[in-house]
Amino acid sequence: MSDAFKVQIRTADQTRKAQVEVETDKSAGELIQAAVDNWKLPVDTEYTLVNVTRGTTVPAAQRVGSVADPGDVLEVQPVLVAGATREPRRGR
Amino acid sequence: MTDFGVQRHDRHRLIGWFDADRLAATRVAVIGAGAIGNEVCKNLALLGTGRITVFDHDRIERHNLTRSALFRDADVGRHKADVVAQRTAELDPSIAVDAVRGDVLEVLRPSDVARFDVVFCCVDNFEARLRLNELALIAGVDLVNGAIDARHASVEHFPFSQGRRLGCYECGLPPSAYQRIAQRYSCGWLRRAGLIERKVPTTIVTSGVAGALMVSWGLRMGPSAPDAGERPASTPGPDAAARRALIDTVTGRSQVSTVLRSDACPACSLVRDEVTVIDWPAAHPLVPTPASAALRVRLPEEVVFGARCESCGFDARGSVPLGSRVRSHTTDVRRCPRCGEEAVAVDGRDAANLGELHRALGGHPPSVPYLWIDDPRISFCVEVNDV
Repeated sequence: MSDAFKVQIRTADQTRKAQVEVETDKSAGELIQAAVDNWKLPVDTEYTLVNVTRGTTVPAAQRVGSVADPGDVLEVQPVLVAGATREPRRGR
Repeated sequence: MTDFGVQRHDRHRLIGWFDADRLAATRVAVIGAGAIGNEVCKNLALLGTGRITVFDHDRIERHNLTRSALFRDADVGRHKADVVAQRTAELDPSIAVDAVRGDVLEVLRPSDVARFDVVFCCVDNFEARLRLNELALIAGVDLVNGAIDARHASVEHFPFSQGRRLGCYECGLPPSAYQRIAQRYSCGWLRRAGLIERKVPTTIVTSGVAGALMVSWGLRMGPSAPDAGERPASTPGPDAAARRALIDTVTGRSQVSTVLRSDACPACSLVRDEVTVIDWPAAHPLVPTPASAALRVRLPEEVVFGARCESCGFDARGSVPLGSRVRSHTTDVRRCPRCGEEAVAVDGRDAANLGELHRALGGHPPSVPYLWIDDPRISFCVEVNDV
């Protein structure tokens, strides 16, 4: 069983916040996905994780244990692409 | 130019750290002449940036008028790059402004990017952002990336002129972005015919905020850039870091963070500390020696190595030329010209060895601006001339 610690996680607009216990070997990407699933965030947007306490944008593959300390504030921020994400009208 | 003895930048010169001479000598590329590109060009011109080159392949549509300060009603239908260049030059006739009508995926090579001090990325899709990131990383040129939605502006600054061991745009990109790109294509990377785009609504408020911060960071405005300690703003330093800002234009809240380098980043793993760029004139076939035939070649995107109908065996290279970019073709090419079945299989590859490349394309370069020869002993960026 891996180690775990508590962090605060929130969305960029701070309308959603939670104190959660995360396993240190979870990746930043897994943490983002859990936030998207639990908070039902829009799925047509990409997200990145920012450690507000450290002031760092965390690569998705990084383990939470290597990029955060107990008590840190982590923010799920949208990755904007401006103007066009494209969806197929029909599959081919 | 004088007006009753008053110089254009006299008020700017009252700002102690404003270096008008440095700005006048600065050469920048603005990639994308849409909402953000308009704002960036306007700001660059008013600050007296010496040479601005605007790239865009698109034409102005009526909906662009609500977010683009440089466009007018009568401009609808004109090329965005031409109009932005023209209006930007009108803001300060003493600066040089050029327009390039072209898709950066087709036209830009690392040596083209190396001619600039800063590249401002104002495009609207992940593919172009990834390519510009790779080009700026190879060329060692600063990249400023801007993006918006209806509420937020995000700006990222990658000071590659100070080294390639910084976080890059791709370091911070989530895996889902690649899935988003893939949605535009069939499983064989042919563009899906009949796509409709989901439009991301934006306003001049978010593009204005993004454009202002992009220019401030890109031109290193201020008494000392935040990444340069006490040094003058124009002096690069080894402690530079890539930065990302997300600004909420409704609440006014902003968050600035350092973009960490990712060990898993495809771009950073490709581009090493030292990059050698060599030239491949398109008219000269490349014939590998027995020793060089095994060298690994990486292409910036998939190109056509073959096309054949799986139903009747028809060789479809007439409609899907060898060496062309797979993504330049739509799924319509899957219909066989001979038997009419949707069975044409396109062999697209973005990696091969030099011998395979030579056999498939007859020694002629693929229709991409550059390729990469990577081997434990050698690492070259090969630019294709006259693509």
